[in-house]
Amino acid sequence: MWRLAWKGAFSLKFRAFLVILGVAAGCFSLTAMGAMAFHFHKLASRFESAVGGKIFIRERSGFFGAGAIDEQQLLQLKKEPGVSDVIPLMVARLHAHEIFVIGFPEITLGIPLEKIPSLLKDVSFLWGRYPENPEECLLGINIATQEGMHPDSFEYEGKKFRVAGVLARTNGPEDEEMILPLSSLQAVLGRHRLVSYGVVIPQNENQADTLAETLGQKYTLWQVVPPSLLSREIKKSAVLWNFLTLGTGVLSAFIGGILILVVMMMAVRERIKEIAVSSIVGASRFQIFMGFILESLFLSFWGSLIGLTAGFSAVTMANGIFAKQGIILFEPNLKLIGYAFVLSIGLSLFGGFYPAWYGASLEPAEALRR
Amino acid sequence: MSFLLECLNLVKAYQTPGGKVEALRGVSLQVKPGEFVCVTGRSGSGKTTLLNCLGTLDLPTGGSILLNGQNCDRLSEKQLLEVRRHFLGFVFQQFFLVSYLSAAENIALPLVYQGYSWRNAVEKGVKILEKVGLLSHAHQPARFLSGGEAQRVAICRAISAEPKLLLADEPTGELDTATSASVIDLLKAQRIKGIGLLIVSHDPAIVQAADRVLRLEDGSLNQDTH
Repeated sequence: MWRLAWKGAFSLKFRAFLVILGVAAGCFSLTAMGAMAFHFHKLASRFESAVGGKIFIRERSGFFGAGAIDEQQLLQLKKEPGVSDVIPLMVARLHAHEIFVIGFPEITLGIPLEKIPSLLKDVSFLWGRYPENPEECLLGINIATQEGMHPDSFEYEGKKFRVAGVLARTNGPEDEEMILPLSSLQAVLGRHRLVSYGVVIPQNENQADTLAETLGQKYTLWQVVPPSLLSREIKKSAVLWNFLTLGTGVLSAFIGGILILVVMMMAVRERIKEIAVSSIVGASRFQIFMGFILESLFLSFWGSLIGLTAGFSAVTMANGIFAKQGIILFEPNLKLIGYAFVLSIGLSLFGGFYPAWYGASLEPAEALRR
Repeated sequence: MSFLLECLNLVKAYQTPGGKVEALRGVSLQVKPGEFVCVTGRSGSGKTTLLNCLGTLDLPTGGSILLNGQNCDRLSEKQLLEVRRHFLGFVFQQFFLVSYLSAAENIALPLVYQGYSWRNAVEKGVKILEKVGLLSHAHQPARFLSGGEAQRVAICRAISAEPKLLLADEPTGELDTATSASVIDLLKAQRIKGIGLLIVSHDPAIVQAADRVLRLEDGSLNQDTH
């Protein structure tokens, strides 16, 4: 039976080619968009775990600039009940000309020298160690890649810093960071005693939201962001992004399924006499039904195989090419390929079902008269 | 002697927008093993309807059909399928070969539907083609066969499952005289195996070759000219 279905599927070679191309395009899109969704999901998870349980303090009027909060004032928060530690941070754009980026922007992050190990405790090194003096810096992997991975020094705002180490990939904001001792960044930018924001480490993580509310009522000039709000915002962005990317991919695959439906319907109508003869020479309705289902499966199998292979190769290649510019957009993985393959085969069954049922339900005498 | 086919008072009526049309009005006929029966008649006289009813492709409105002694009225769809698979063979005017399959593969079709493996079925198809002198065309796609070759392949397909009764609808209708003769010879050759032939045709050569000729007029069989 399958040999017969195979021959039927490829009886019109150009049409079979077009169907395979359509399904392949859908699967390609599904793979690319799925890999993008996976990447952003991972980014969001990493970001959420990095900021989890911490309270963020920022100046109300600031968005992403440096030098909006007085460092000494911020450190006063240490005296508040429930506060374990306060880490002042300064953030600046690594490249001042960058306006719009996809994902995390490349930044320079200033952390007090003695706090760097505790703040980066979950991050491992690709090579090197923590900075030990104000002349040293750390590089995130995407920035290090652009510098040949083992640079001796890195220049920022006209000043050269010795590279103490490169952080291993986290798929989080650290990948895009140059980390400097806070005093060095303040000096380079001429913003002494000023910081961009502060991270408050509560004594009890479970009561971080309550502590944030108390601090917010007391320090009205600052915006106190509780961990739950930050987590909610991250999740919201991740859901929206996944909806857009995965939605586009699934829609493309669905269009591939519709293509199968249309082509198989045309095939059934064109081969109506063939169906009648099959029935007359002894094909059961089930055999006719399965014949067309197998045909749509064969076309979809090849389309999926080509589309998924091309998609996987393309996103892997794109990652390789863009990594040199410090951009990672995709997270290709075999689980995604498996899901996409199952979805594609499922859609082809959906697309082939009605035409197959229509063909199988034809009465031979009636079909011969058409 | 038992009949391969026996139909009694067969009636087939259609409901059309213009009212009820009776295509068959009480047709009765019998075909014995090895017998060659030709049904002739003008266009629209009900020949194809008769063939469709006898071949279990269409349900009669009245009367009964007995194939190998079995009353078709009482058979389920599955049993009718078994009758078509093992008892009946069909030949059509337009051959209805599957264009993208080779001659041998077309012949293999009924066998594949019976459960033969593709390879065994095609091998059997090649052997049948060898017997009818078409071995050189065995692996040629059906769309490249001439009319006479295509019809002979269609006959081979009809007999590949070794049926007892062959039903043919104008088998020489699209062929020239010389080619028709070879097709008629092939059909007649099946009688030796005990296969009964019921052929609907206008072709004088078929009428001449038949053991019995029945004339169908306005849905009624009203004379037997042999």
